[in-house]
Amino acid sequence: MQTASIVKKEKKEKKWLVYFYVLPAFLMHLLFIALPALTTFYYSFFDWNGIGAKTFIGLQNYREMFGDSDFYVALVNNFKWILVFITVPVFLGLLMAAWVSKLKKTQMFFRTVYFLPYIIAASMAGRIWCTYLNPYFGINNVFKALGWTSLGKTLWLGNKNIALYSVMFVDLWHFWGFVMVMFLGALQQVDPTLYESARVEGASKGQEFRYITVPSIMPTLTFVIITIIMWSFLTFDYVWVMTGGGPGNASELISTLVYRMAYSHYRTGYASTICVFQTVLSVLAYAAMQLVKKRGWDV
Amino acid sequence: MKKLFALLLAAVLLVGLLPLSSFAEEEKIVITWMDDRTGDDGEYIRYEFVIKPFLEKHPNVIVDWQPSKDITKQVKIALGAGAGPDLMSIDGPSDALELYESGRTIDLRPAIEKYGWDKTIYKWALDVATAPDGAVTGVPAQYEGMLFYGNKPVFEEHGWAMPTNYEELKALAQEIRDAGFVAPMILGTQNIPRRNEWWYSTLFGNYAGREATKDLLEGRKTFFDPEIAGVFTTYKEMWDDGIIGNQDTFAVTLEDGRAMYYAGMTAMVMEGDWFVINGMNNGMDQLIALPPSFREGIPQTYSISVGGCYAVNASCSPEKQELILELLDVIYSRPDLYAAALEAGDQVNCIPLDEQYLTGKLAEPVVEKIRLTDEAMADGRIGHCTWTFFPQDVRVYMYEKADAYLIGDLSLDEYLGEMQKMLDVHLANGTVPPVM
Repeated sequence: MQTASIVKKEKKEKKWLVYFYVLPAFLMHLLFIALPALTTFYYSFFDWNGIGAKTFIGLQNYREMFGDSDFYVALVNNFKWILVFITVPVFLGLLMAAWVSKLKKTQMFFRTVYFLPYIIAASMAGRIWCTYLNPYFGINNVFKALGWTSLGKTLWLGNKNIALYSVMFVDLWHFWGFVMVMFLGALQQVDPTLYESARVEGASKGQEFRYITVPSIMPTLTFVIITIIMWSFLTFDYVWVMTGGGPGNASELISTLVYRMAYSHYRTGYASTICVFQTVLSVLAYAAMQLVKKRGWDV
Repeated sequence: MKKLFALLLAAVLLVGLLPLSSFAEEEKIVITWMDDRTGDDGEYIRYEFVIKPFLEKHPNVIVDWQPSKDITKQVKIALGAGAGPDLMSIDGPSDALELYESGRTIDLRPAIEKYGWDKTIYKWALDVATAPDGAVTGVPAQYEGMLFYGNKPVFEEHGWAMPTNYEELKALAQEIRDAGFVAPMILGTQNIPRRNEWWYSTLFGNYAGREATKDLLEGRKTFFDPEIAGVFTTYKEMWDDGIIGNQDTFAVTLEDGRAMYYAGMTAMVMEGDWFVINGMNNGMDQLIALPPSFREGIPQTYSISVGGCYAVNASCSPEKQELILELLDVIYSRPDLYAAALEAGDQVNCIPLDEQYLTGKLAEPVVEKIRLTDEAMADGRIGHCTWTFFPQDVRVYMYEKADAYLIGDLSLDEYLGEMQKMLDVHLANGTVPPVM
């Protein structure tokens, strides 16, 4: 009886010890993530320039946001961004991962080469590509030299119909190698005997891919897609460095709009409102991931 | 025995501490100064011509100099968080006013009077930094304005002259194109949309004119009046006609645009006073002129602004505030140091430079620029730069939406209408910055 009581007491102490170890990280999270996030929600109900006195205006910022044409342009651009990023790098990454996984001696070389752009800082890569896309001394000169005059006159970052896609291209160049490495890691976990069995049964390469590869890497695939969706809502760096959201607001994203409102217009309250909306979108993407997980894909 | 030993040990320790406390260094006062001068040159200029002379008088002070390239943003974030530097060199009077109205900085009127800075600082600059309640929200630092620069050897080779009016500019632009240059001048707004307001400021001075702009800012005219609307239509006309690029301004960065001028791909550039130094640092031999007149009856005008202000954190103790003001006094009461700072490449302060310093070691382009702008100021041919004289939201909207207006996404009526709406609110609330 006494021993049981001691064991119970020790267990209780251990439980408290665990809480004690978790506490510093929890406090840090509370202080630097949870509280600022909550204050953003709080500020969204105020007219505030970030330094002066705050004026409570209720839902006025929200009403303004839903009537703001710039906001809708940014939102639509964000969805375009998502659409491109959940297709192009996923398809390209998967395809290249499937090929690279077949390589033996040169696999490391190709993995490194394709992954390399990902380790370059976005601001630096953005500036480098700005120079490449400069109409006077960038790739346009190469096109002109090749006789492709029309292409040589293209304003990659100055044409409102192209600017967003030009920036997307650069971010894709930077990002797809990361996706490929994720898929490569997943592919290497697939049991090779499954392929052997399929081959014995006479399955084609396409059928192997469709019925073995894809289901086996489904958790990674789902994780990559949901992560891309969440990241796409938050993407900022390449657009800010390369076009600043322009020309006009042709390449404006929600994040760049938030930044402009907060630090050019000094409308912290309104910027907070857009942040809240942005968070809701990300949370919805996260909820989708949880839903998928519940349906049986161990994400 | 043990007790005795413990007492002895404690006594020895106490005795050991005594000399330490008696010889301890006098406590130093630290003044943090967040400054818009950056890099080695900025550090040298500030330390050699301001901080060092101050520290000679105040050896018990440490000046913690913190350079910042995006000073206003950083200062606002820091002050908003309840911290921030003791002394800050912020972008201009509109920011100074905002910080003062938020209770973050102090009224510098008493300091201006005590140190007699009102006798040295240009009156127009001091007026601009004065709040409606009479408080001086920031001590005007450097002034800046918009100028035209030409590649001198290129101009001489082709027998060109700097344009004095719009017709001449148009004719010159055509000649420059015919001579094989990619464009007369390139406006790169890709990474700095604010460059649009450099042109708008030039046109407010040289198309609308000083009086019409003043009327606008005081509510006697609107953006729809022809003199004011013409600022925007003329800008679009120049953009459409390829005078300021090849309708590709959003595809070129500021740096690339400058690089093209340095490389001789373009023949002219429109920039602020600061470009005198940029040109010198890049080995350019330049012609410097006031922008041309864009409308008959409007003289060539120097659109001017207070390019920076010194503001003092309200949370500083009165003793520290006094020290900060003494530090600033070095800038305003030592013309010899000011001239030396100019020689070292510093910007032109809002105080006149005595004739004796205009000769000798000061670089020729700097002297040429000072004489040119001094003459314009003396004649009253000065205009309004938007970042000093226009309400913050009006000017930000003006330059941020310039792209949309130029490419036709935003009609002139919508563009002007939105600015007028914003200006009307400021006129009603009395929050338009002081107009000269």
